[in-house]
Amino acid sequence: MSRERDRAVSELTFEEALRELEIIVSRLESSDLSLDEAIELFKRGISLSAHCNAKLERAEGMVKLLIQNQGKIEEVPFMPVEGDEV
Amino acid sequence: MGRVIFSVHQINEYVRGLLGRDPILQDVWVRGEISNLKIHSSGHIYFTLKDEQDRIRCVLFKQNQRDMAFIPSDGMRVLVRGQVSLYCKDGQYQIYVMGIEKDGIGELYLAFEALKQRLKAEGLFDAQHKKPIPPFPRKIAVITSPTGAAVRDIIKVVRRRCPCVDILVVPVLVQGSAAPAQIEAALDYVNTRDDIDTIILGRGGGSLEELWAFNEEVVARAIWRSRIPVISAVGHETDFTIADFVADLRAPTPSAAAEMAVPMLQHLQEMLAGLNVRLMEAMRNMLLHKRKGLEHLQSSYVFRYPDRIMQQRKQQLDQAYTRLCAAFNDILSNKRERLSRLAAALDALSPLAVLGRGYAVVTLRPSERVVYSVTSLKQGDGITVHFKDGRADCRVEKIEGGVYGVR
Repeated sequence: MSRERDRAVSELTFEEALRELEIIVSRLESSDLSLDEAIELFKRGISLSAHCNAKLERAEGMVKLLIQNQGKIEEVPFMPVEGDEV
Repeated sequence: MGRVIFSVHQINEYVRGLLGRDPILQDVWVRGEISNLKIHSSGHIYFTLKDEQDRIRCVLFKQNQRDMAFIPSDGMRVLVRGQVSLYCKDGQYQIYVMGIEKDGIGELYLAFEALKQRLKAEGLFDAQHKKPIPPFPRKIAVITSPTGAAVRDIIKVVRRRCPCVDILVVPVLVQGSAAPAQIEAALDYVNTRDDIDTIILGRGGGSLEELWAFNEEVVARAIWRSRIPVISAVGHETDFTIADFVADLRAPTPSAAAEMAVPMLQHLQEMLAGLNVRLMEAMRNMLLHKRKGLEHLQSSYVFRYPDRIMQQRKQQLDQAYTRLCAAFNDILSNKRERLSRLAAALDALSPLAVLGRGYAVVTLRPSERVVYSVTSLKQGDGITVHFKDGRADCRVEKIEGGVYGVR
């Protein structure tokens, strides 16, 4: 956790940010913190929450198909064909 | 010679009787391929069983279909168990099918069981090796046929649940002799990348033969090697393959695999909103708590009435002084009382008090010892009689014992 706290919020994955946010909330709810500590945690919590939200509201993810083109591996946009073959 | 004429019905009944008396025909296994299969609206199934040379008609009544592991269809190679008898209306004999199995299943099943036991003994299925499925994947790889229903279902479900997740489709053959090596290579390739959180490996339903690639050892070992968690989704709910046992998680269908691989965006948003509320609430409570603490300190006695603290201390001192004096007085009067009690007791024991009541003490001269008995006296002894207010020197004139009954 301390390692995550040292990192900029923008570098965190959704999972890391969410986990840290949960820890911060529990600490704020239960611990006897100094006011300065509490304010620092709160500020971090707010930016973690905003970061998570941004990740969730990211535009639709990509669907790519892996192809081999003259020995080179490439990814091309993929749209599954409708049909019933297995 | 007279001719015996039978009716058609009679001759059919006769033949039927003959067939019915043959012990072999009552319960036979017949191998063949299904053709001309028709399912009647009554639910009974009619088909022809054929091999390279011949054919025989079969009927499978609805009540005998309950334990069937699959639905028979044209072209299937099967083993049929039943009774051979004549259908009089057509004059055709046929097999009344009691049970039906896929042909060849026995050998494949044995191979499946043998590999399963071997890999199990090696620990490839052990629960402790199962990797957890990442709850919030950014990108998942789907190893399957790019033209199948499975890939379509998976993409559809992922899109519906969590549109922000990226999908990489890694195309492979999912049946046929080239399939196992392709699946193995795909698994190994995906593991060379660092952007994939979860792998879904699977295909739609099919016959045991069609699913067979997922029972191959090379596929099992590639899943086992995978550093990235693998969800297997092979066939339908009832199909179990070796891949399912080795995979970190087994999904009953490709759609279910997609559900297991990605969370519901809505749930994530709700969870995040909940955390946000708790964060705000916790901070507000924290500030409230701190403010209260401060107010409490500011409003305490010391700050409001500093002189009262002094008054209180003075009062305490007075009380202590009073109690000290009282305690000392108590001790003093106790001692005094005890002294007078002892003096009275001493007084009671004094010989002077006895003399005061008219008694006298006699001592012998010149030793001045107290005389307790006449036996220590003789006539002519000089004695001194002590009274309360003086003494008299006397001489013993006569001694007489036992006067008072005392010896």
